[in-house]
Amino acid sequence: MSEGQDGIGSMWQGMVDAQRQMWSQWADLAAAGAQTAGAAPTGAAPTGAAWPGAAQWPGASPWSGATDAWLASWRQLAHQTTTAWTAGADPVARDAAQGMAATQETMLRYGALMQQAWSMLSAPATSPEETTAKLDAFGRLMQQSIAVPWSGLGTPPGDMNSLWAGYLAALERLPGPWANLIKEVPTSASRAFGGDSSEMLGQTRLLWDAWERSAGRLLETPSMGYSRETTEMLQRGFEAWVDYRRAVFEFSVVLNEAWAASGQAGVDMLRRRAEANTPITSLREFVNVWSEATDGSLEDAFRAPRYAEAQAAMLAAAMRYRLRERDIAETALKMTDIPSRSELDETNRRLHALKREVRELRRAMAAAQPTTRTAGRASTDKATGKATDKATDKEVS
Amino acid sequence: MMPNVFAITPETFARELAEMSRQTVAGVETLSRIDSDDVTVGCSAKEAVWSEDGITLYRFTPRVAEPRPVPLLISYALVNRPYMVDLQEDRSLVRNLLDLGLDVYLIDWGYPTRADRWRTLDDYINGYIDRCVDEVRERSGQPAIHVLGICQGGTFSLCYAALHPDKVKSLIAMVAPVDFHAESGAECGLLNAWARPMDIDLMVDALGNIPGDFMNLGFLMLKPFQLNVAKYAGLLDIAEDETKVRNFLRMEKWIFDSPDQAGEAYRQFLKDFYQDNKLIAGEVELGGRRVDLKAVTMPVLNVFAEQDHLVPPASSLALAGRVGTTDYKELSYPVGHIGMYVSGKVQKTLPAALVEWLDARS
Repeated sequence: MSEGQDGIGSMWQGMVDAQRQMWSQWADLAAAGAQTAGAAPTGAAPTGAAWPGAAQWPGASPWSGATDAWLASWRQLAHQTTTAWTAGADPVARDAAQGMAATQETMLRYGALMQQAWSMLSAPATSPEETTAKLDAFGRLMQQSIAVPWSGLGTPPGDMNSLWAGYLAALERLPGPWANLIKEVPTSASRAFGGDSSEMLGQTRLLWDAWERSAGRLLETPSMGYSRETTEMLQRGFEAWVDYRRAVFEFSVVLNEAWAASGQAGVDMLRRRAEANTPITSLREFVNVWSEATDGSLEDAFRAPRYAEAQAAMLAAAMRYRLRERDIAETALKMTDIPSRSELDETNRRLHALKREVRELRRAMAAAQPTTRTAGRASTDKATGKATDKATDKEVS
Repeated sequence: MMPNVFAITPETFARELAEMSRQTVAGVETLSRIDSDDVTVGCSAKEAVWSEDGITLYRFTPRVAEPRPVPLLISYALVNRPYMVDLQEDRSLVRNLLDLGLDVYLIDWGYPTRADRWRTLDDYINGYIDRCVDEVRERSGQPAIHVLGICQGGTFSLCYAALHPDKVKSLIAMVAPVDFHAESGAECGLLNAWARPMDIDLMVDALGNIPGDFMNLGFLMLKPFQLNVAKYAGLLDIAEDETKVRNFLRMEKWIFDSPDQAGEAYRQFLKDFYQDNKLIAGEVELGGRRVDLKAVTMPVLNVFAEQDHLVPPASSLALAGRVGTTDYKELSYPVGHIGMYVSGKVQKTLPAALVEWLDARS
């Protein structure tokens, strides 16, 4: 590739043409899909002559600074088109089509970044340090630009009010009409959990008012009232929620460090390639070598005790919260006389123990018989025993 | 000045982008034509001969007039579905074994429901496997049969063979973990490293059964880029070839077809095997009996994958010297964990090697 501004301009023009062609292909597919499947993608599909926002970048690539917006438009079209086209296909095929479209997006993003890297590196550097600095900057850009699989984890635990709001949002998943009404709890929870018992009392009362207004009244059950146990149950749930949020944040810190290190591994790979004068010659090659380098780095990080411990701590915190959540849900279920998970589990446990006992008894009975169960069983059972055994098996199971 | 690491002309770059888009569009069109009937798995004819608690014992229809008299029972892992050994006609360990004249049975562990949450390793090994072995012995009239245990199913088979050596004529352990702490440090399996600090009791108490999706997420995180990006980029290259796309989809189906894990069995497997590494210490207890690998006195063939990132070779190789037989042999292939069942090169030689080894011990 020739270096300098002419080269960059030429490269952009090539990409403009490629993108125009890409939109054209997807637009054609979308149009055909609408005719075939009768499920047209919503929104205006761009024509082959232009892509969304083309007017903002006349004569230049949309990747010149608005990659995310451009890709978002493309993602919408690709997702809708793929969904419409594969509506009647095998579910595995549908997922694979989405995976393939998502990969194209990733490849496009890599392409945009590669083009940026090419631009950055095409200007002559005055020293090896400058080249290194450019590569490092590119590595950071890569890691910031590629969707982090665990994005969204990195939010540190906020103040008590926002944590309480998060706790309530999580409780929305619980059954019972009263659960949503918990959201009416004032957001001054921080004061309550900071030791203001009047706040806590008010919140608990609100909870039980909600109960009586909904399921309680419906079933004409006596008012349950609020109790110290109920208050403690809610507070334990909140504490578990806070612990969980903290553990998620701590895990995300470790993950982000691993992510940053993997970017550096990618940069190191690029540097080695440059030093060895074995340049990358295609987008696909770039994706492959970058993936290989970063996966290797991530694997090293994932194997480290610090990562495994942070992951285990997050998992444990999630499990503790889940148990508290179940306490709350089961309290509601008990009031509505609906069997709870714990009760079903206990029933299943007893059934399981009984089945084992029956099998052991049958085994003991068989052992007490004069005939053996090995080679002898084949001849004996053919006559009588087999049918008896099978019938018993089915009864037991 | 350091040379630019990218040597791509605008023209080739534009062409590549355009071609990639064309391939994706073509791929979507190809995939849209594939309905459920096209992604069938399990190519060999078989019949259910025993069933209990959602667990089924299948006998594959022999493909020779007179199959060998001593049958082979395959015990697969609980974490994925066993049709991987019979994925499609040209990628089927089972079919190759049938063609070579074996009488093949397979345990399908099914999909545990919440009602199976209390199922233990004792239930699996001394219960279901033992009853399946008895069924096969009874049907064949043989006092002892060959057992092939794969991955976790290999570990189970080792335990079973140690506890019921009289019923196992020979044992093949394939990509089976034995030493769960093998090669600590850089070569330690990721799953081993992750499992060690986990509070397994808390997980099982909170979740009951362990969701298959949870297991899958762990597997995908082992190589996030290659398993989530590079894999689908590879799909672009075959997007217009329906046959290859179907092959790809069969693998996809298998990868994401992960049953939930029965809670109590998961608890014991993770704690006793992964965390405390009790198998090689002779400290695993099942049904009140200690599992002593020295009690594995029948011939043993240990088959492992040299590039296995799930079960490191060192974990399987730890079996050497720990079993109570002198008829112990190892066989390896330069593939990964899954390649052992589906690699064309492996399937050209592995089935024949297994049958030859079994014949010498029948």
